[in-house]
Amino acid sequence: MMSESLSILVVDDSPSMATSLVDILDIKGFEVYAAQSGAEALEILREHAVDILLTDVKMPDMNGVELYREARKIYPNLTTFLMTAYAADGIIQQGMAEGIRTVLNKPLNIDFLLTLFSVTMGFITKED
Amino acid sequence: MKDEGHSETFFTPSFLVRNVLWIAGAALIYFSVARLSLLLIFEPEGIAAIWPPSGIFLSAILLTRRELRPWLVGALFITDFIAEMLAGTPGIVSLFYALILTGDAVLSTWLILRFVGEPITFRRVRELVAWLLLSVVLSNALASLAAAVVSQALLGASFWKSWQEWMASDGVGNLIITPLILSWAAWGRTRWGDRKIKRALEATALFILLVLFNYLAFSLLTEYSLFSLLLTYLTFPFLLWAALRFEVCGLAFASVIMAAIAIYYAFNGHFINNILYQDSPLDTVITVQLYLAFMVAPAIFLATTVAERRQFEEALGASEDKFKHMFEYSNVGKSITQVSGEKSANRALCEMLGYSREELQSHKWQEITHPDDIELTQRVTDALLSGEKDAARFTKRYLHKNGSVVWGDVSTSVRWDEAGKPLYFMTTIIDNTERVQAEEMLRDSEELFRDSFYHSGIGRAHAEPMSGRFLRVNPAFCEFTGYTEGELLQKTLIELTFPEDRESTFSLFRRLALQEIRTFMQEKRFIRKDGAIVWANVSVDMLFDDEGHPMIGTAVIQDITERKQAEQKLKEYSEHLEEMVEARTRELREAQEQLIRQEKLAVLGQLAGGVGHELRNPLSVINSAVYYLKLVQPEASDKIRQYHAMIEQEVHNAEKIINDLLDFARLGSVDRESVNILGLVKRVLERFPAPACVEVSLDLPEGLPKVFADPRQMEQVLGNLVVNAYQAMREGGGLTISAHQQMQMVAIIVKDSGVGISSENMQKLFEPLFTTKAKGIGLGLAVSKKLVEANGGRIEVSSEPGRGSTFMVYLPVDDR
Repeated sequence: MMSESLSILVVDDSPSMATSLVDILDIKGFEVYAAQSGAEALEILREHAVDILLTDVKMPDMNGVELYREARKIYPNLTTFLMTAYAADGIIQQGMAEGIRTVLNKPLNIDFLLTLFSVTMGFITKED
Repeated sequence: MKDEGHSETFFTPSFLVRNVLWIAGAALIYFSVARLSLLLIFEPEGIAAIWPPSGIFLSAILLTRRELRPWLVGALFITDFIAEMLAGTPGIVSLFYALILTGDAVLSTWLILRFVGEPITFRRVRELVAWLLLSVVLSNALASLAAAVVSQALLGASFWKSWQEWMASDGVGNLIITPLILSWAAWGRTRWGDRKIKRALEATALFILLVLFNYLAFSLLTEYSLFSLLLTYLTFPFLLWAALRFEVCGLAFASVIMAAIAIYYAFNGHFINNILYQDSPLDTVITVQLYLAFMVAPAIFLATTVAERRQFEEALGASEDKFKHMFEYSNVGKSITQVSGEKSANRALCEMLGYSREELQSHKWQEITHPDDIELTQRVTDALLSGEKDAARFTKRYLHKNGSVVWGDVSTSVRWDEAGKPLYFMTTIIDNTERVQAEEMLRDSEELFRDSFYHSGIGRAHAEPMSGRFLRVNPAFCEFTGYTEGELLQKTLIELTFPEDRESTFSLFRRLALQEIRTFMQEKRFIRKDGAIVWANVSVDMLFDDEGHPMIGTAVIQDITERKQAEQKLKEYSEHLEEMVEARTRELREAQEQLIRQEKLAVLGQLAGGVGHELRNPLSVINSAVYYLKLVQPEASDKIRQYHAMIEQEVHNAEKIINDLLDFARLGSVDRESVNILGLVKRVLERFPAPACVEVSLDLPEGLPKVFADPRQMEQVLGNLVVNAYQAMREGGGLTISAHQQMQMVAIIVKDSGVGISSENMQKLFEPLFTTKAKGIGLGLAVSKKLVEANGGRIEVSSEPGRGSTFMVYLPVDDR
């Protein structure tokens, strides 16, 4: 069952944010990894297969879109969602154009997020 | 038969005595000479060899005043009669002889006066000829005829011989005596020059020689020889001498002497014929008479000719002298220029041109003429020489020796000879330099005047002193009034004046003409041709003639319309200044308040943006945390679940506030499109459904045009208004949403029947951070206003506390 579940990498420089999301997703049965920076996230991505990348946009070392670009070098078809506390800006627009699925405003509507994952899971399973 | 006036003068005692003495003197002389002559009668005819009384008679009449002549004639007639009687002539014959002699003298006198006029002085050949022909020949011949008839009839004498003798003796007497008396009577009028003593000596010598020569000639006649005969005629040169040197006076005197000597010798039988022919006494008489006549007549001709010639020369000399004086001493320049170019100039011309006479003569006229006038002078000269004109007058410039220009008013004419050839030019030159210079100055000053008058940028006008009619106007004044020069000259100063200013102008102008004031300056209005009223500063002067009559009014008219208008504006401004300052202060205060509000908004926007975003992260964590707690405690107590819900609700509220803040901060891009009002309203009501206590009614006409706006922003605005309305009607009420077109806008009206807004709150209603609600940070209406304005619309409000509020949103019609 676990092996069949989606693996999600949550990246947020706020440990509380990352931790609370990881805990929720873990309970909901996802294989969850957490990173607090872009570099840490890329390390995880190199070691583990990840289906979905959920990343904050504004982070100290690199922003969410830059992370997406690096991650795609490892997983070209990596499904990526952005989280942001800020208004839509140029970086996000750019990311969307490059293949990022969607942007979620903070505070997150967790139910909507879970629904989104369920739908995504179906896609990914079919593809597999 | 004399008139009284004459008789009075005539008979005054002294006059009478003088006249009587004159007549008596003449009669005495006549009587003496007649008695003497009658001694020389050659028998048998009883006619004197020479009869000088005839000359005395004629001379006496001619020398006597006209009114005295009858008396004289009468007196001499009686004298002659007496003399004849005393000589033993029969009474009747004496009477006839006296009558004939008188008639001869009267006739001669009449003829001479008729053809020559008095006085005759034997200085003109014409007088001499007239006397000889009329008196000596004609009158004498007639008298002799009468005498011959008388002699033959009464004395039995030969008619022919009597006639001959009478005529000869009478004629010779006349010939010798008349010139003597008349020429000597005119002595006073004869000028003999300065050498009187020399003349007297010469005269003396002449007469001594004359007497001597005559005496010798006749003395030698006793010896028969052709030489002695010739000698008698050689007395003639002495007559010529007398004639040439002493004229008729001298000749007549010489003639008398010669006649006396000749008669003396003839009477004594020592005359030519006696010697040569031994003839009868009568022949002797004839010989003497012929001798005298032929000696005297040519000589007297010569003498008269000489006299006339001398007089002519004297007259010519006097005339020449006059001319010379006129030429030389004239005050104006004169010159005579020969056709050959030689010229003589007078003193005035020399002075005028600064040359000496010799210098002037040696210069050609071209050298003393200004180069520019040489052609003119040549033209005039040619015209005169061609006979085109007789005389010319023109003005030309001469060159003074010192190089200065002398203006000459030149009059010149040509003297022609009888053959029609030009002889010389007579030229008169008046120095005109001063006048020409004065004229030039006048012209210059006139030009200056014209220039300053006509080319002045300031209006100038001349007007008649009484009527004020314009006499002269300049273009600047024409432009000022809008009339042409021709139109203005038909108008008066008063006519052009604005009615309210007419009286003052008129009275000032009149006082000026009466010399009460010397000049005046007035700011007044004129009416232009186009009816516009213009202002001018007018200064007026008056010119008076020598008698003090006003001659011309001169006006300088300066356009001050702009200044006046500016003054008027200034006056208006100053009147409204207080108001304006107040209004301006208000504007300023409002602007300042606006500025403060805007600054407040800007700061708030930045703050809101920053804070809003930063708060989202912790809110997101809280949100996730609560979600997790709910997830891990499915069996939690009601109390815990209640708390979970509280946390979730407040996160939601916080998020809403943050969104408001962000909306306000983000004057994000406006994405305008065509929006249907009905759809918009419906979406809003779906999103914000009315609570149960509120009844919603819509009034949206079907044909309402679409508006051009950002639909999401408008939803937010209307949603905000609707939510506000719900909150104002917690106790229930009605919400009406209506719309209508108003010009190019659509008004969407949201009307509630809620608590309303107090008037003190109305003003701050749209300011950020103003709120009457317990909850909320007061950004809703501020954001709404900003969004509406960003979409080209506006938002208004009216409210009645306790009765409800009405919000009106105006949005532009989509007219693309």
